[in-house]
Parts: sequence; C-alpha cells; structure tokens
Amino acid sequence: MTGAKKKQGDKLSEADAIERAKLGDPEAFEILYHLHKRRVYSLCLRMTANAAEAEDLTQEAFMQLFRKVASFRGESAFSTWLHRMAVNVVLMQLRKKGLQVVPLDENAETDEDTPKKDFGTQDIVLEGSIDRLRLQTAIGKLPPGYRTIFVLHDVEGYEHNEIAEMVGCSIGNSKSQLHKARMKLRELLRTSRAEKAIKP
Amino acid sequence: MTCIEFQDILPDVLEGEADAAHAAHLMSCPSCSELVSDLRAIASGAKLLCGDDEPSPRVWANIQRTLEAEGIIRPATQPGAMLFPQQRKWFSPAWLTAAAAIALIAVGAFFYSNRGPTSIHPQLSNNTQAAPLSPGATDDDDLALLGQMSPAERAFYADDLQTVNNFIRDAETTVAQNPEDDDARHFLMDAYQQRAMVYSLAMDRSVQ
Repeated sequence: MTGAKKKQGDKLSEADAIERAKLGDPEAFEILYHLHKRRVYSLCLRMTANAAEAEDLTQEAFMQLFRKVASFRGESAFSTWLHRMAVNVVLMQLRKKGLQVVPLDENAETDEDTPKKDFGTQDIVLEGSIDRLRLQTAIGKLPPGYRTIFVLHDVEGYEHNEIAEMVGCSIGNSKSQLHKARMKLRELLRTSRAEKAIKP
Repeated sequence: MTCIEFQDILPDVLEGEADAAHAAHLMSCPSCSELVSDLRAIASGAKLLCGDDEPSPRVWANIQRTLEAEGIIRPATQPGAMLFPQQRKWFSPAWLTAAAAIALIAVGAFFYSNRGPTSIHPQLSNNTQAAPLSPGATDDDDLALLGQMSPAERAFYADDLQTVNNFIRDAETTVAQNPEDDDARHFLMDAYQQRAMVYSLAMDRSVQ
C-alpha cells in the first residue's frame, strides 16, 4: 500500500471509528485511542517531565474526549480537538500544583534560571545537529514555564497567538518565554557536552 | 550593530524578521552566528520529538474500565455490546421485546380472566388465596397446579406461564453470567412478579 493510500485508509478508519464511537461501540473507542495515544502521551510527558503523571493526564484527556464524542460535529479535525483537550488538561494540572505556567509580565524576574546572554565568546558548538535523547533530558530540566511554551511551540507546533490564548498570556510574553527556553536549552546542552567531553 | 543589540532582537530574527543590518552582523560575528545556528537546531530537533513515546497498557485498561463504569460502552462479554451500548441497557431490543411480551401476557391474562363466568372446578374454588409462588417452579409444576382447570382455561394459562417461565430462565442465565448486571436482576424480578400476577389471575378466575 502506498503512503497516500495508507493515509487515506487511516482517515477513513478514523471517520468510521468516530461515528461508531458516537453509538458507544467499544471497538471504536479503542481504535481512536491507539490512533492518537502517542501524540497525546508525548505532549503530556514533555510538559510534565514525569512519566507517571503523563500517563494519568493522558487517561484524563481521553476520558474527557470520549465523554464528549457524541457532540463532535467535525468543524475541526478530530486530532486538533483531542490535542487542545490534552493541552487544557495538562495546563489545569500545572495550575492545580501551584506552578506558574507562564509569568504574567514578560520582563519580570522570576525564580526560574534566566539564561545567560552570549557575548563574543566561542563556546562548544552543537554542530548543527541535536542528539534527541540529550534534548529530551534537557527539556525535562527546564523550569515549568519555559517548558510549557517550548513544548507547545517547538514540539507541538502551536502558534504564539494560540499559545497565548491557551495559557492566558500575551503574544509578546509567549515569544519572550520561548526565546528564553531555547537559550536555556542551549546552555544545558553545552554543559552536557562539556561534561561528556571531560569524562574519560 | 553590537552583539548586545543583535541579541536583543534575536527572537525576531529567528522568526524570520531579519533585515540587512542583522544579516551583516551575522556575517561578521562568529559568536552570534553560532548562537543563531544552535537555536535553530534546537527548534528543528524539537519537532522530531512529537509523538515519540507510548504510554503503558495500563492507561487503556483504566480508560476501558472507566468507560464501562460510566455506561459509555458495554462490557466486552455482554451480548449486544456492539448495537446500543451508549443507551441505557434496559432499552436494548432484546430486553424491550421480552418486557413487552410479559406485559402482553399479563394484560391478556387479565382480560381473559374478566371475560365472564366459566366452569369452576370444585377443588380450585375452595382456594381463596393464590397458590404459593416458587420462583424455581418448573413448567411441569405449573401445569400440575393448573391441572384442575377446564381445558380451555388451562391451555390459556399454560401458554402464558410457559412464556413467562422461558423469560425467567433467560434472565436467570443472564444474571448467572453477569452477576453485576443490575438491569438483568431487575428484569428477573419483574419476570417473577409477572408470573405471580398470571398465577393470581388464574386463581382468582378459578374461584369466581
């Protein structure tokens, strides 16, 4: 089967599964879960940096979706609808834990580590390619506010206006936090490379 | 343009809003050039992380259990699960048909018993109370109890009792297979009550 045909087949499967899920078909719910579980779980994992918590949030996101599936009218793509729901579930959880999702003032000093500016020094170069495992580890070390914006923008592909609406901040704040997150990741990755270079 | 000035507008540069002055600084400053290269690599690398991981099987198991508990789907072993699982179970076609049949039997027995005086068997006429009910009574027991009636009446009530007994047996089987099924238990109790009503009507008829 060609990629295009397989993709078409998948779309038909999802559409059928949605209609059957509206009727309460157990198999349909399972199909929808397996189609989208990776993306939802990855989102939750990146944003929480905790596997157990990510699984709980994945479960909650799918349960919210399945309770409302009968009201899905198809105005947006099903995956978009599910994804937004998952993001909201994670953000609510972060807020419940008392974590500041994003600073309200983009210029405010926060308790999070502020990345150092780079002035005219040549440090370890990342050589244009990033080791995925090290990047995942570094994302997990980001402060929650930076991590939220970075995951939503660079990993999940949301635009700043969408992020601003979801987390309740300004577009400027979203851009500022993203830049700080990337700078912090660069710092973490350089430190990691330096440590690796030093070890015998 | 200094490095400080350049890095102040670096977010805009990364968003593709660089002008000639920015480009010139990048060409002339290896440090800022490396910085931009690293940040772009981080953004590109992040895209590859999307949908990378898989949750453990317990997540689906929990979801499935919750869907069943909330009645959004039927448990996998319950017959008719594919048909109307999101509706309340007692509205499934099988149950509705059985409930309608039992109601018709009861109504039919009522009207039959009220259609006028018929022959009264002396033994049954002495019974002023309905025969004791035994949910576990077999068809043979029922026929024996009604053995004293006229042939026409016996035939009528025997058919009704046999139908009700069949429903009771089906409901008992379902309850045995699904002990947690409250609807099946309620239906079984209703079936017992319907048989009691048919009995009662038969007995009432016999003493008129």
